[in-house]
Amino acid sequence: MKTGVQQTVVGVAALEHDAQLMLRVREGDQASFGLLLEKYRAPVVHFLYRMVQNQAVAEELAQEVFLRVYRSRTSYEPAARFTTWLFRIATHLALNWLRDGKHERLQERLDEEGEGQTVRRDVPDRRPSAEQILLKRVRRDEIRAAIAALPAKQRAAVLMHKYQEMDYAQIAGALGCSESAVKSLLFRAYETLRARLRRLA
Amino acid sequence: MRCPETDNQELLVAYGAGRLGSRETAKLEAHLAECEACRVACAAQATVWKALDGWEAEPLASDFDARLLARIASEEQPGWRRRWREWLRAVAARPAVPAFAALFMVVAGFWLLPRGAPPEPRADAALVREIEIIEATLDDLEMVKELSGGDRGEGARSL
Ligand SMILES: [Zn+2]
Repeated sequence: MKTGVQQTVVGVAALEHDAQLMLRVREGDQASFGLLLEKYRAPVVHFLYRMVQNQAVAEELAQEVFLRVYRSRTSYEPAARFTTWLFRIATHLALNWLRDGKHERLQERLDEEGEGQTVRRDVPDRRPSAEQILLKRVRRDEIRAAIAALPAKQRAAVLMHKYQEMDYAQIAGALGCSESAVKSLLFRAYETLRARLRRLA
Repeated sequence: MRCPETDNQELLVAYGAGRLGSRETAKLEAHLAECEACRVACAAQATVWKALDGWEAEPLASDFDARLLARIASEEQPGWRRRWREWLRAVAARPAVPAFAALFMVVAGFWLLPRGAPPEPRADAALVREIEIIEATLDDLEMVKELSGGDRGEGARSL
């Protein structure tokens, strides 16, 4: 019994910082939610953007992700790493969005909302030459098309592996599948990308 | 060693990602010196990696937090707007808190936290601007709710 208690204590002490923040959110500390939002707002939006390749949709889905995080605060248990849980929600929403026809409706709404409404964006002040811009755009379009052509689950696996630097276990947690399934998704995806992006070398 | 190109893709991917330990790197590089197929695969993987590095994400809309907080607030307590407006007349925030924390206290924490002494008034253009965005978002949300008969967010609680 004593070891059980000790294990719990050690478990709490070893809890990652994010999980601790989330536990504080569970206790009603909203500033901790602000810290989590501050830390993960951009990674989540960027992940979703690369999944759906539409910034307005990505932001809308990200709003939903953080809304769900906030709503689930009372039932939150740090069973997995916070990022795994967070990206599980994000992946779930992105895959759903890509799967059902709902996205056309959302797209229409966003298009309507977008008209006559200017949103201030924090654009960094860098001015590359026209040639650089063009070259960059061509490359970026190639990459976007190559990623978009991947099956959605492969795409999610690659994006989490590449940009979130998640390991196989975390990606498996986020996708709700086994590690070996993740490896197979990843290697098939990279194989496709290697063939397709070869000319960018 | 097994040839990674045919038998151990994991190694090639980890190498391309720079996530291989120094001993494994040395072993793989020794193999690369002798194996054409693996050299080609590694070069191709490096190209993929570099290409993906170059894909920058778009900057976020500056009203992202304000919109989110407005949505949270509208879920938390339906009748809070009037009180919040009253409070807004004395536009204020606690000093020395990051803008987000201040905003969060304003929007979400206002009616939830035990109310102590009124915070010191503070003139902060950014905060005022954020508050305007929240106001606008709330107006939008209410309009959408009215238009859709209050069924907005269907399926949102299903996770
Ligand atoms: Zn080989």
